[in-house]
Amino acid sequence: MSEGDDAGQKFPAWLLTGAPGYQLAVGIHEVQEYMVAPPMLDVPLTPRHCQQLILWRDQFVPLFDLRRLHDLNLMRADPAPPVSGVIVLAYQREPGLALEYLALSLYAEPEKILVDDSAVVAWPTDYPRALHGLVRSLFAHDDGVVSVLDLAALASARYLNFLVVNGFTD
Amino acid sequence: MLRGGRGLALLGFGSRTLAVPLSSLVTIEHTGKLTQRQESSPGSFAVLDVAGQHTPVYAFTDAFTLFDQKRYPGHFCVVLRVDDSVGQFALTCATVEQLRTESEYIGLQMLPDCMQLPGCPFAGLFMRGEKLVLTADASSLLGYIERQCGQHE
Repeated sequence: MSEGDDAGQKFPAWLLTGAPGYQLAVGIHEVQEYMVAPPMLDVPLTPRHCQQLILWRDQFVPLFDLRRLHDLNLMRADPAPPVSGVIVLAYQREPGLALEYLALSLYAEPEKILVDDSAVVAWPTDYPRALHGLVRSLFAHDDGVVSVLDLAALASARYLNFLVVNGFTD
Repeated sequence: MLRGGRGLALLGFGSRTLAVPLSSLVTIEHTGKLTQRQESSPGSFAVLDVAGQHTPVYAFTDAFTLFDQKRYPGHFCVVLRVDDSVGQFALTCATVEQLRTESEYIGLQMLPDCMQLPGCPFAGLFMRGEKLVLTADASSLLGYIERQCGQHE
């Protein structure tokens, strides 16, 4: 689509690099804070993609590193690039319930973008299977595909069970 | 004396601190009282005689895997009661401390769902100074230990 076309409605969002080569988008209202190097707390016997917490505003917030999921599509960069920072995101399990929080490790600085709702694309055949249950939709952006993430799904016990059963984490 | 009552016993293992209910604590002994490995309890590296009852003794590494060395880690051996039918077991640790939760706010939070792997014994966590403390009850710990032993058999 050329820049002059304006077929769809545009919404502001944050573009996040959740793993090398994997970009996702979250709503402006979901972003709470971006931190370059917050203190992290290791928790033993936890899944490899979520083994740390950060202490944020007096509460423990689980820290996800999507690059650590067992999925070759997310492990392309070798050696792994350094994490650029951590972003705290808010979500609700259901409308009316209190806000909860999770944090994501990012591999690039977050970028504010406009999402065009006419740029929705179909699932690529090589899309990481580990992430299928997390994504609300996909859209095209700068020659790539961006995933709109369901944060409540990411933080759910159901998704962890899916990862364990399918061998995407351990 | 760290026995009974409400609150938590804080067991220090290297860089880790584990909190268990004080109500499950039977006794604390020095590791000098431990005797040789008990063959009938896989994963235990010693046995402690408590009131005529042979109690298997386990130890954790920093990663909460079972420690399997002849040299006892830690100075203390904390005996925990699961319930009357299951019996008791012991953990060695470097430090033991009492925390009265009715008189001290600890800011306990549940371990998030997204971190609760099947079989993980931890239920909650809180900060004590700069250290993260993980909570678990005796039953969950023994279940975890038995699964670990099963994997090593």
